[in-house]
Amino acid sequence: MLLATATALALTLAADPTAAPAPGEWTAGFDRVDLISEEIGTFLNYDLLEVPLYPLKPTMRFAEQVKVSFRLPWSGFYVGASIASQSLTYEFPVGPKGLFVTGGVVTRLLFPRGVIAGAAYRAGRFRFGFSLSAFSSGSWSAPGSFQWTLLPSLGIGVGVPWS
Amino acid sequence: MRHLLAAAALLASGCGALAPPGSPMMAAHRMGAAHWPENSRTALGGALAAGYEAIEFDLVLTSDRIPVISHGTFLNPELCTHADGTRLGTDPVYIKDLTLQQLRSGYLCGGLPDPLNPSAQVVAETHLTLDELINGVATHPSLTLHFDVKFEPDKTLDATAFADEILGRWTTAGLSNPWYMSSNQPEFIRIASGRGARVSYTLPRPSAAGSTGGAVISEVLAKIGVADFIGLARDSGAAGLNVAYQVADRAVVDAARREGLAVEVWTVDDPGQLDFYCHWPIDVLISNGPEAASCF
Repeated sequence: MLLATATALALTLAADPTAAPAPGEWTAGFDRVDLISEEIGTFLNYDLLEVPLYPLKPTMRFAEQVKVSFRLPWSGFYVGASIASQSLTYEFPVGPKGLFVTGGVVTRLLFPRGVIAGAAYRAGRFRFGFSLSAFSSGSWSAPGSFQWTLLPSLGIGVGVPWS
Repeated sequence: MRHLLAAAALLASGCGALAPPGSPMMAAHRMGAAHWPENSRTALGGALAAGYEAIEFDLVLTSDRIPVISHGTFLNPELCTHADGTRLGTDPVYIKDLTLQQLRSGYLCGGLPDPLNPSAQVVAETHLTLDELINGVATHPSLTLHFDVKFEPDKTLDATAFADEILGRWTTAGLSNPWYMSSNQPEFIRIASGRGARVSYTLPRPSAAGSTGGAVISEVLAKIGVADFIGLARDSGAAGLNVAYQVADRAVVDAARREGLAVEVWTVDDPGQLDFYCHWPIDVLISNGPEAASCF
């Protein structure tokens, strides 16, 4: 249900013809909704396993990590926000068409708490990301907490067609 | 090559799929509420006979400062009756307003079927005191004791009285059992920790964890960092974190343990969930029926 709602939201936003840039042109605006976010990465690594046992918690964790991303005015830069995290990322095109190397900083309520680095592949409306996510336990309420976690993470996003 | 191995080890250390399984100590919630009336004399006897590794029990002070074993700060009308067997009224009967003599002569608990643990025995008894419990466990020196202190401002005597009476009795007894305390009140945690007790911070409050709305709010506040469990525990001087499974977050658990906090997850009864948490790197897993766990 939640997954369907998030997908519908992504497709609705992506269907807005004014949101899609002309081929080869970079414009600021809506980019995509990440149904699975690369940031942090705890949903796939930890929470998904609990779905058959106590669905409420993984459902909340899923909703918390669904991320909406926007292109900034500068080519390759994106900002994204979910309940769990907010990020500033950069994608640099490499090699075959649609392939990018990515990197960014991740915050919690804008408190800097981590970084991600990896690769992304864009095809049509879809974006697939593969990253390493390093994040600390820090927050505004515990700014001195720096226990770090490193996780592999996967992102699946739906948005405006990439060209 | 060395760098590759180091990177792989670092990756594996943070990855749930590759992390080694944990081996938490299993603790009997309310001394085994799945089988016996919670926190009762019968439960203590049953838990000792069952050979549990650890028992958890709750403590409240009577008006004459006697620690008695009770989960509620007031008598639970679903579990307790007047001594003549009649049901309690709607107004809460607070234990802080009764002497031990009044509590024992006027009320019995455990004589009504426990709606949360329908398979538990039904045995009407007077309240067990901490002194009686200490006498009972004296011949079981390897049994770990978890004192869950139910100090609550306005509903109980003050935090200092709790620390004085519980720690005083326990210290005087001189038993060698491993032990620790827990509370959801920073005031008590600071006082007891200052007297050398190892106290864990219980988060969120059981009333919040037990309702869907409360669990959702607690989850979101923790996720966005407004109610940071590790920060709250550290700021209160706690030595550990007792987290409800409804909001338990594996990344937070890992970080808490690396921060030096002992971590306990409560209260898990479903066999599938017990097996799931048996594989978490936690210190204690608490259950009404601990023998149902694969790591028992």
